[in-house]
Amino acid sequence: MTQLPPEIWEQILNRLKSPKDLVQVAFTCSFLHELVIIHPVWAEIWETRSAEAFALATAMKLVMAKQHEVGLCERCLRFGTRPDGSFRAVTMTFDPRLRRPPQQLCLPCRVLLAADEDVACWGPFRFSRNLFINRKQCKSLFLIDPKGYVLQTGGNHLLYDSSHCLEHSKVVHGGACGVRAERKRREAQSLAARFGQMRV
Amino acid sequence: MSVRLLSSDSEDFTVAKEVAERSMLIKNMLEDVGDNDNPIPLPNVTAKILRKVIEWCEHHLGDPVTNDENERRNTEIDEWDQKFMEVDQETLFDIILAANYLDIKPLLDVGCKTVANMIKGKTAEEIRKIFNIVNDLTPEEEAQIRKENEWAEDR
Repeated sequence: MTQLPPEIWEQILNRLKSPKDLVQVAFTCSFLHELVIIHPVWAEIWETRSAEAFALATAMKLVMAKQHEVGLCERCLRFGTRPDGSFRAVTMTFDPRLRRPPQQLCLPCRVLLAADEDVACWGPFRFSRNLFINRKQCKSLFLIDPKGYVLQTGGNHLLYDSSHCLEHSKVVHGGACGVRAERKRREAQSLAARFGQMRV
Repeated sequence: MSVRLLSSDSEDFTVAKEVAERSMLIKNMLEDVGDNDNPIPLPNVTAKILRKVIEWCEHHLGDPVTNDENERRNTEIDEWDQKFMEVDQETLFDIILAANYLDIKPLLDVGCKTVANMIKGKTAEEIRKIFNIVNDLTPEEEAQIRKENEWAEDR
């Protein structure tokens, strides 16, 4: 450990781009903690969001605070855009065959990687292609309004192909993890609304 | 034309000038002293490490020299370099230190990337074990750091 001087460790840490890896390094000892705090990645992440001036040593804290609020995408190093729901950066689990560790991802990155998501994650949403659902079911299951997708099967009843709805839901919410995050947000919202009514 | 290099443990190496000039330190020295038969002393590099460094420089003799820091950092380690770096940790660190001292940026880069790859995806405890790091953080400090960065805990 003491074999390498700080300037070499700085160069090694500069080759680490993942904030999670850097935070793990920071946990190891005070020497590396000090080096991680001044790592340029924190300033880079923060500056992509805002040109706000700050002391370099506080950049990591600012990033972490913001990460707690809206999540931080480990792929593009951008923050989520909302504190909850599918616009937050949420953790995606990948197909075990890809041997890829779970990653916290923003919505656009999740959309790009949705095909690699662990199919088991879609378990609760899986339907046969022959199953047709109505608009209300589509909204509650997949959290999308199928109105704009023109998926109706014809006839007097407006029914939608569940597998198409699933595909659209993946795009809208960024995978099953996004759908789950969005569901959680809506549930919390409706609970808050009910609680508010009770209090009134 | 050849150049003589003298390791810290007094072993004499004769190498082609182009090979030696992969090191900016040696290149500058050669420019300063001109053609000379005297060996160049390298007091910070042992014979064992100098042999490895020369092996690397000979293999990468024809490589284009890139000054773009970002390009160098973002390229992956090639297969030959990966095998070259399959050494014990002490040797790896000594190669990095030698590359830094001799100012061979591409070799320093390969060394740093190798260490960075050893860290990737590991927990703090695993990193401590790999590099024999003593945790000198007080329980309070550790708790504080963990609280601030609990996001990184869900590995």
